Amino acid sequence: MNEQTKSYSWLPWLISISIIVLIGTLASYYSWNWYRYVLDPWTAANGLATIVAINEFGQGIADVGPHWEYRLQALASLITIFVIGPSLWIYGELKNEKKSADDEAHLKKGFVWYVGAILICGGLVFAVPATITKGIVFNNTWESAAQIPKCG
Amino acid sequence: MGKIFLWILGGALLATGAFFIPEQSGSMWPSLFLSSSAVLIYLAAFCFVWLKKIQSATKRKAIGWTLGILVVFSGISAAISYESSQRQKETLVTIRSTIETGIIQNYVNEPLLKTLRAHAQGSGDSNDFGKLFRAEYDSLITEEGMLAYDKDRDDNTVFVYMAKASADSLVLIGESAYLKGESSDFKNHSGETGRYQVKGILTSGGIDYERAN
Repeated sequence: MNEQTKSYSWLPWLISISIIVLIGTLASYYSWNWYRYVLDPWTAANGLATIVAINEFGQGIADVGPHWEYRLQALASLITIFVIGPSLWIYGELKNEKKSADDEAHLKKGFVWYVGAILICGGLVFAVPATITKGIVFNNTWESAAQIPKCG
Repeated sequence: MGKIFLWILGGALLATGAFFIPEQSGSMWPSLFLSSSAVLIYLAAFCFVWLKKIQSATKRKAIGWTLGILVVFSGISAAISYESSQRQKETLVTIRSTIETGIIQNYVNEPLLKTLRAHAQGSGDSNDFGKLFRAEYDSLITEEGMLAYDKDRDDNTVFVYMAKASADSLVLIGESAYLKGESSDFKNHSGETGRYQVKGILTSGGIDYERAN
């Protein structure tokens, strides 16, 4: 690996992160809710729990409807982040290692690697910064709730 | 390439199979927890088989750490979401319970207070609580002795019954179809069991309000 190639080895990762950031920005601008559901299985579960809780609040009985759209979103997200993403990434790395004799080809990671890396980057965005934010919001919300005097 | 797709297909089928083991109604957390366990098993098996094929030890470590961070933080995220949904449900139930007890108290107290006021003002048969009450509420009393406040609403959960309307006392019973009482064996005024029930008693000494269940 020559010095020039080595100095640009981070470029494929930058491209993957940029694609995720671009999709995230567009999703936020155009209110594409599917983006969040694809990368975070727990959002769908929380959404369904909210619907069940509100129905119980309003009607006094627990909602036992299947709500397939939420269930299938969560399942699809789980498979995308923990099965498809890591598998394609590791497979892409393995394929790239075999052709690493050619230094120029080292930068051309291939379609499989990019799909895997983009999914891993997306998963990490929701797993790390989003979880930290979620934790802070959770803490603040329930701390504030605990300060409200109880009725009765 | 075909081999990797077979692995992915296997992982997807494993996750889907685990997801559909619990009953698909109400909360999806049981399905999600089982499916998450299945994908973790898949991920461990996949890494065991495929990761060792990568020659660079640094790359193997980097991949391992990245996937480890993904799994650990996703687990924390799942725990926060689960706890949040549980607390949200409990809070909504508490709010609804507070509203429901307030409504019952209001529904029971209002007729008693109106009757007491009529008695204090000396209007009509002012010494007969039963007659004073009936003069105001007779049109609302059904054959079962219920005060039909919201008889046209299908989702009504608060019921008020006239248990006794005599000259010296007036007893109203408030019952909720939403709130559970202290004892599940308690026989309610309506014939149901285990419901929340309160009793409002008006006598010449004033209004007494007590929880029956």
